[in-house]
Amino acid sequence: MLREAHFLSLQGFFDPASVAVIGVGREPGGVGRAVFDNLLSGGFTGAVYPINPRADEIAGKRCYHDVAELPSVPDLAVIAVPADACLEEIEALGDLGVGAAIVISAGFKETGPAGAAKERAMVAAAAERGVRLLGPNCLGLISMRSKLNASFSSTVPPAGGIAFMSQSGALGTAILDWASGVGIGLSSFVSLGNKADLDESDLLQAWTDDPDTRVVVAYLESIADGRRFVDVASTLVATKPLIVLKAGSSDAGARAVSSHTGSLAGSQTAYEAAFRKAGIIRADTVQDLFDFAEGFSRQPLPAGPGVAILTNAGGPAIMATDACEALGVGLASLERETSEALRAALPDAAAVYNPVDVLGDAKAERYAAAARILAADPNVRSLLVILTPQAPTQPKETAEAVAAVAKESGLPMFGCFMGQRAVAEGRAALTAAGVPSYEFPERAVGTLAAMERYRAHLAAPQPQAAEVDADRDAVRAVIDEALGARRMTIAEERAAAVASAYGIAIPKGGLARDVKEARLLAARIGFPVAMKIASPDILHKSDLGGIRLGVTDLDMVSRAYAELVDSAQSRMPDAVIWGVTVQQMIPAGREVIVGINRDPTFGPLVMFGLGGIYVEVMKDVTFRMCPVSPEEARAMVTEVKAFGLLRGARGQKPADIDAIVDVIVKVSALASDFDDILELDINPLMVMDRGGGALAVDIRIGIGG
Amino acid sequence: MRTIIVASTKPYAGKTGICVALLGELRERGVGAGYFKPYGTMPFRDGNVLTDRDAYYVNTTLPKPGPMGSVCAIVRSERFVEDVLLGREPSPSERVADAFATVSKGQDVMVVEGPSDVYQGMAAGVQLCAVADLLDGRVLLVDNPEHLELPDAVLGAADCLGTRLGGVVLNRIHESRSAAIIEHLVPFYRGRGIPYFGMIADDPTLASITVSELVDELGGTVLCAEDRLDEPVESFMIGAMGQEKALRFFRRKARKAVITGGDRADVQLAALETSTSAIVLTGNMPPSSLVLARADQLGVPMVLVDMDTLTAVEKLEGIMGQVRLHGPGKADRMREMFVAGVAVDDLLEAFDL
Repeated sequence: MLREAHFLSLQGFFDPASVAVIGVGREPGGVGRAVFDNLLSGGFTGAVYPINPRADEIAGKRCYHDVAELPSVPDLAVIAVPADACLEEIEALGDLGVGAAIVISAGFKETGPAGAAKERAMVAAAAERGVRLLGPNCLGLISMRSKLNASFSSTVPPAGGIAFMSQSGALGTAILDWASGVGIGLSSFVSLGNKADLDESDLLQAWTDDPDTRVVVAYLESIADGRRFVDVASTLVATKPLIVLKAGSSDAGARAVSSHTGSLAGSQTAYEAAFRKAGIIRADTVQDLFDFAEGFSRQPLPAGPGVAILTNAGGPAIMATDACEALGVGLASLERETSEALRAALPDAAAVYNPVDVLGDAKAERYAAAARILAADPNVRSLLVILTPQAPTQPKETAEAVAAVAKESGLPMFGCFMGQRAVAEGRAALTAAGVPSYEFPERAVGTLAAMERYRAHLAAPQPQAAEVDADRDAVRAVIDEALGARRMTIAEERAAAVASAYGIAIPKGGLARDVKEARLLAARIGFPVAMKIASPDILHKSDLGGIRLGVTDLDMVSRAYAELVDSAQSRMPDAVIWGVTVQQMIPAGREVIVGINRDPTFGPLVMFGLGGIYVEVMKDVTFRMCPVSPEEARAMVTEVKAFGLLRGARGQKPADIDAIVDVIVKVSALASDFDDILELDINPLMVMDRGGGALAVDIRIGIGG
Repeated sequence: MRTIIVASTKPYAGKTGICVALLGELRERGVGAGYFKPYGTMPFRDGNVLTDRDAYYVNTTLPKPGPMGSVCAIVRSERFVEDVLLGREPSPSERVADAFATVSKGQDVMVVEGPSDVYQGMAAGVQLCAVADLLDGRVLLVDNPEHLELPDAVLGAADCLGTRLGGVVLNRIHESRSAAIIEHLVPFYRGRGIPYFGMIADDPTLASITVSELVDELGGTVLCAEDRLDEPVESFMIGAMGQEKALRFFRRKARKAVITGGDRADVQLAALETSTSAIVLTGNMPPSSLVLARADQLGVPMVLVDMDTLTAVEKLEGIMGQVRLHGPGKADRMREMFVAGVAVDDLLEAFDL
């Protein structure tokens, strides 16, 4: 669907000329009545039609008995009747030509199979008639552009540039109340409800082209279509920031999400990879969510890294500096002229390097002077102003003065006035001047860090997945054969064939089904050889004594074959044994792991880490969504904490990073090309010194779906 | 009249299935055959008649089933065991001969299902070799050799059957073993003059139970997808880990039953993401209504049981893993696999059928 068409199709929700509310009670107290009252009190100037078969007039407005009686076709309908009655209403609305409906009613999928069936019927009826549906089981929608409060929250925050959607209606009400309290302005609020039709991706598309929305904020517990979400979010993020609080990151939290939404909470790593790809800013707490939103909506993005901290107290400045280091926010290095100018303007005891301490007795004038000098330094890209209430301090005047300097210079500024009553006026002045105000320096730094990440994402070139040359037919044949034989794993020589088809180097060797074959293979490969038990049920061969290295003659081959099979059989009697893989001995190199895991929400993810304890014990791994570009693959390699070992440490030569990058790109292409691949492990990928390439020594592929 | 006796070297080698397949194959070739089982060990009541469960089933696959009172001559019961041990049982072999005479009347060919191993019934004089002489039949021996096993039982049977041994068929052979069998075991048979007619692959679907059999065994209540109770359950897995690990774990098996607590919405959803035939909820804890709705939508029955996980596992281990014949499509599947693995023409010729 064309983007414009998408935006227009949701215009009925955000900018209707008229609204019908179905299920308005004659007495106050019911949900329908609440929505109706909110529409009127919110200042909506269009026509509002209450519908109740048993009333002619409600709250002074003409009431209609059913949809057919309406004098004109409303752009939007809000339905607040019991679940059983909703289908009929949707049918009537659709037949009339209404294009947008909000179903507030509960009693659908969230109640079990019967409710789910009702929901499906309603969605089908709406789709047949061209009605877009929000909900059901939702709070409603608020659109400040048209002063439309089509929700049953009576609190409406001030108008502003933030669009907010929430998968939890109850949390939504709380946030609306809080936003009103602290004066955060919204452009729209949407409660997603059961997401029977409209989901988070639809809203993101609508807000991409909405001129009133400068920042999009979302509370989500699950995502309906992960790949579409990443696509749509990427497009949005190119023009405005998207901040998401994704709940259910812990195991226990995930369980709660599953219970609450009936969807898998989704893997943490998959969400991280997806959000990174789309450039989404992730908030870990509700506080972060709105701290970030405030920062993004009120201040320009910093033009680059480099914050100057301006303070009247050393302690908080040190805390802020620690926070900067922890969050990767760089402190600006001041030019010599700047420090000299500061020394001239400030008392002797003042600190003139970053953080700049104007001392406890600073009044507004000293703060402003320091701010002006800092603003003139080309290395300073943002300003954090910390203030503690000492006797001479002038919080209000300081706020105004410094804000004026920042505005004049176009420098993003954040205020951290610490305390409560003594700085209350100062905080209010900051807010009035459009400067985000935080109680503690860590929150200010957190917001700045998010803004810098966003800027960096915008500045980075969009990764382009490489075209990979491969024999896809050969791979298709291997997969089909396994599926036909009802095998869930492809391993040993068949897996090696798959890797080879994608140009991934494999060691010489093959599967021996008996001792005779083993001897033939060994002779053909040439001694010394390695021998490994081949079984789809044995994942950690070395733990079971399932590997013999450095086999140097035929007698050893025979002995090793018998020992390997007997050992496996006795330790895992139920394991299916294919035989023994006989391979060339690989020269020693660095062992790394490249893997694939298909996430139900986001599709295949490619993983990289150094082999052995680095992946298994330290969990030092990186992930990306597939397919990856060579640049992304390289970033994956350099990001692992143990990267130093690959680069060459303590006299060791550097490893062939290019070869690793090549394998990662190819594996990610393989996973993207074949939906049947659910998991894949190259463990180890043996990496030689630079220029020596890499060999996929052991490969295992899990298929299905 | 020609009589072929299908016997095993060990229990669960699959001889009953082979009887069904053989009867079907003969029928297909226009040869009408009757069925008889001299000695059964699974008591089953068909109305007033006490018979053997597998015999009952095989008999029902015949276009003209034999008289149920005679199809299985002796059903091993506590009473029978006592009588044999105390010398009170008059003449088991006479009972077998009489029943056989009744069932085989008017038949050209009889397919007889022998005992579970070479010596079963010897205390009563109805072991394989005795029955072969009594019924004047030739024996098709079904073996299921496992790793590191020598064909001791086959040689034992050959020893006492002499020329009555018509040959051997191997059953439930996993593909990873087939090469070793062809290269080592088959030449051994040949060397000993034991005719070999082929090997039948292992098929996990034949060992499957249906969801409804699972429900019956566990005494559970079906909460949704009631129309999917005929689906096969080939294995089961226990879900007790976190959501991310659960998905990787559940991907390993298809057409499985997952056993988990009713409060584990994350495990249940992970199971629903993979090939799952049923979800068993233990401890009488009903699931979240949203997850129930999802399971219903996907057509996966959720079964609520009162017992704890360990008990449920023990019960399922008890009924799974053996070939269960009495299910939809199984008879056809068995014939399919029989024909695919066995040199049927050679076999029928060897037995003069």
